[in-house]
Amino acid sequence: MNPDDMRGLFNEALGGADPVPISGTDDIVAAGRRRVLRRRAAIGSGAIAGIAALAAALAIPMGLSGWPAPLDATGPGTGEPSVQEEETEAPELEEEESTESYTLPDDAALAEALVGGISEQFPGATVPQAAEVEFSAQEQTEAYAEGYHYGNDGTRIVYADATVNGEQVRFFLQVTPIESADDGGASQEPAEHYANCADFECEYSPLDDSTGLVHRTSVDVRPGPTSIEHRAADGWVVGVGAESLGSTEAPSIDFEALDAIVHSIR
Amino acid sequence: MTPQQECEFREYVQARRSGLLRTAYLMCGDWHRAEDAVQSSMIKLYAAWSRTKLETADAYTRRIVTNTLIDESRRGWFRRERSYSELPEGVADGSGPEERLAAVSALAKLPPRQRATLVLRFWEDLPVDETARIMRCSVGTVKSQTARGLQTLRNLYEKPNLAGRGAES
Repeated sequence: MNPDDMRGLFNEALGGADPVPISGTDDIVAAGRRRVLRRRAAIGSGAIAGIAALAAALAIPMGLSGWPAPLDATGPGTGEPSVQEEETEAPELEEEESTESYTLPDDAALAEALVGGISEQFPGATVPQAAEVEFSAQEQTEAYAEGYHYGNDGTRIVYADATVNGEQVRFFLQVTPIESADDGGASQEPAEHYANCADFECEYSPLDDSTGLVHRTSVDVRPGPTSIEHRAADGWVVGVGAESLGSTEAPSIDFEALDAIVHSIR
Repeated sequence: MTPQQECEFREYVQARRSGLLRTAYLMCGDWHRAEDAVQSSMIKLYAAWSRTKLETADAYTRRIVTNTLIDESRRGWFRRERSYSELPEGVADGSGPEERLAAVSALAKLPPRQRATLVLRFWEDLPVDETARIMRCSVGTVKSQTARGLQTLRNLYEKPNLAGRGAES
């Protein structure tokens, strides 16, 4: 079986097929537009929630002190935040996406993907239920207090303690939203920035035009490997790492397995 | 996305979609799954088009299609969907059914990653390092997957009754 044989085999499998796609280019463009609009709508609602929270934070102390509520926070005489009226309109597709940011998958889906990925890569491993693991900001973790900083501001962590071939391993998943869509693209510098490589040994490799992979190794604080994908097009950074439980030695987990787990998280 | 960019995107889709569909079919053996994977990749590409260089768009879509199909096989849902490689409407079938069935059956016996590696290496004619980037693995892994896949096919072709259908990939 040589390359020519393989090409012949593939040609036979295709049977001379000249496939006609079921859906047209218009369908793809329409679906692509909807994808962009949904993303923007989610961003818009998040921004409005932030504005409303800020307005409430301003109004409450003013109300308590007897001051009138500010007119830019509530409509005159209605008591309803005027900003909500603007939000009833569907967002329009802009010509440039450079200011766009993104939303992350929900926590439950991420936890499920982490636990499922560990089970798949390490058959027979004892893993927790996805519902048992919870996210927290990296600043709230014990590791952070020890000087192990997983990423930059906005990085969130979830742990899953597992037993792999009799070895106690603490896996973790870290996610960080990229601050803006064009925040350096997927080149080495931003990828290493978001992976906090200043504190670790890192090896960067580009996966494609919009995705970079960082293999990060901690050698002093909580030693162990972490595989981190910098997904510039999707607007977030996701990493999966492993450290030993009850030992100061790095666990027997290789990057290939961690790469596979990270890749399965979408 | 500007109107000019959307026009370029449409041209790209029209030019590359059929080729990508064939590649996806060779990776999974099911035209409907292939169509879904290609369509998903194109929709994702639309959202990223303004930040994607034309010369890297092929690698981007190949990577999405490849990993989508491998991910599906990992999740296992496709194992319940028996794949008998039906052609979608409008697809011409130009070779003998027995030869075609034998080839489809042989490919279906390969594990998904080996199969995708062989398709990328010998159908798409990609070098080892580019295949490794798409598969998200090392160059050494691509070489070993290639060797194992070729050996599996050699063994299959040495045995009679190759044309059994419905093998799990």
